[in-house]
Amino acid sequence: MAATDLAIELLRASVLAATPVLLAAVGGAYTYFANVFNIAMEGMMLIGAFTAVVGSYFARSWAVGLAAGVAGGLVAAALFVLFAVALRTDEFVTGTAINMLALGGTTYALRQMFGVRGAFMSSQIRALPRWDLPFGPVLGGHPFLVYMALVLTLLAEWHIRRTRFGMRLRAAGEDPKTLDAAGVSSSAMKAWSIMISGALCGLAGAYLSLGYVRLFSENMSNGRGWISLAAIILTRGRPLGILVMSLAFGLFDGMGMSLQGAGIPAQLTQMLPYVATLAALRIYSLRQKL
Amino acid sequence: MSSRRLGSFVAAVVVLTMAMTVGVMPGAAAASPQKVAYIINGGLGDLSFYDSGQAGIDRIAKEFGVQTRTIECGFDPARYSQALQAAVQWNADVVFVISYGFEDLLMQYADQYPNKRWINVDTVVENSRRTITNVDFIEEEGAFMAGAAAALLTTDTTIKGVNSDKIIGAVGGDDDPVIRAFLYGYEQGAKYIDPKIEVRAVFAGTWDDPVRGKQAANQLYSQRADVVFQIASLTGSGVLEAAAEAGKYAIGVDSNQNGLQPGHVVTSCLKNVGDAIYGVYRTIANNTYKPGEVLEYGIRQGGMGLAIDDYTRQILPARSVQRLVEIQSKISSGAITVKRYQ
Repeated sequence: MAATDLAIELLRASVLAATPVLLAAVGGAYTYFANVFNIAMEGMMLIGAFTAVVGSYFARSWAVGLAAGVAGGLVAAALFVLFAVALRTDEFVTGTAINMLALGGTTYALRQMFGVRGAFMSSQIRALPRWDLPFGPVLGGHPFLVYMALVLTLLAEWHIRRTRFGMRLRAAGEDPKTLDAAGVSSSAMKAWSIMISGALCGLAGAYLSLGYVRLFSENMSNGRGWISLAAIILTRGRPLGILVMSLAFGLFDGMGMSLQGAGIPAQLTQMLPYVATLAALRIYSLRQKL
Repeated sequence: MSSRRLGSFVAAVVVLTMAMTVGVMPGAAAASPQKVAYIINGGLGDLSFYDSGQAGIDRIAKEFGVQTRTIECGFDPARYSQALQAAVQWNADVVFVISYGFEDLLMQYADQYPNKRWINVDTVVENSRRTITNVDFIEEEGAFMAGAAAALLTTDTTIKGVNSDKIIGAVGGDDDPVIRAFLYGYEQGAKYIDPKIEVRAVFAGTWDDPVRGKQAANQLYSQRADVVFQIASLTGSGVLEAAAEAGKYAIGVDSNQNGLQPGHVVTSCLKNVGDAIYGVYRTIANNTYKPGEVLEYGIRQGGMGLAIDDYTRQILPARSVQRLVEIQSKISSGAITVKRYQ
């Protein structure tokens, strides 16, 4: 049955497409609560995607690749901390700078290290293992980071809501002076939130280049970090809300392409995920008023 | 400075200025070109279109001993005019330009610098002085071959992984006239083999996102397509990967991509940008170049073709390969006419 096959493929693809957005957005939720204007997720993700491929290629191991991806995200986050927290530069400008550095830097490093331009493909890049979990055709057989992303989302929900760290994090965002007076450095909490965001963006990048596909191409994050930012703002940082938003985005993204088969012009269907985001924004603003 | 010495200095300046004026007079193309620029709207590294052109430029540099310079715009409209300006300031004698997206700017520059040879590749641009030479590829012919290859594959259920449905797919980077031309030819080629074949196309909406390319290809495979033709630059590398993972097939584009996912890329629809660039440059070198021409490069001229190699024979049976070769020579001789999109 072609119709059910397509429906299954659509749902399956939406889980796959949602994962990088989810991972980055859950990390970004930490910075949201710490009141850090974090627009560097796009860049941290791209750096993570690149370092993951480098690690996986040279060590011939997906585990090293994954670790390298996280490390790449952390290095970018450390830069953000150095400038935006320690040296008190503007967060927006710093984030923009990191995004530009990520695009130019990975492109340059790609050409220098591998002597290729555009995309780097090799059979020596080891992909993340897939887990054949008995969850049916839609949820089974994905790269294991998909399942890890779900677990991390639940953990983050608990971590931010229910732990001492989470409370201090939110206090750093809402009333940093009181937190400082209570003997906890609000700057340190901000720095922690950025580092967590960097690690998760690194994971998201590794998922793109070792999980979804097994290659690195210039600018392969392609706006996914921005979608994450939209998901965070829409759900006001609630990890469970972010999960729903990411899945919805993944679904609409895939539906956009399949609707072309129904004779709707491609230019219109490509708008779908963004129109859906706008609609969601409106729904949230309505709920806020009630 | 004495008046006599001043006089000879002025004379020297006058003579020099005259020499320079003569040098830049239109039509005074006596000296052979020294500098060749290659301006591309996108970036190198696509393993297909732009890289193929670069191969032609490299061949020119080697055979004719000229300096060459490649200017990449990375699809950034802000760089288009800078790129043309850079070529002019570098004093390029010959400028090959892939001007898709900045045709108007090219016209202005060509009108302003009529003594340079402007060769526009892949589209047709006419400036008021008619000095731009155009290299136009007959994409429909190459895509016809790709469509025929896809049809021979999907109708042959003895090939591993091929289902009984006669459905073939294509992933385009975006909905534009060049991609439409490819699809038009692809469909004609498929129907030439079997009129019942159905073609499904998806436009990914991006040229540099392999993740989306893979997503699009997987959708087509789930709709029981056996083979997907990628016409999407870097996005297409995701299509090739999807084919390998799903145990299905793909067709590459512009350069020979058969070896990128061995056993899953049946063939590649070649657009020999490099050969065309080299061919035009040779006419400049032997003084048969005429500015303002539209040069059509189809299968007969070697501008388009199909990459049939051991990777192809590993997938398609010998009789199908034989059939493809026959179709190629029929298009070349005019026995088959492929309709143009526009």
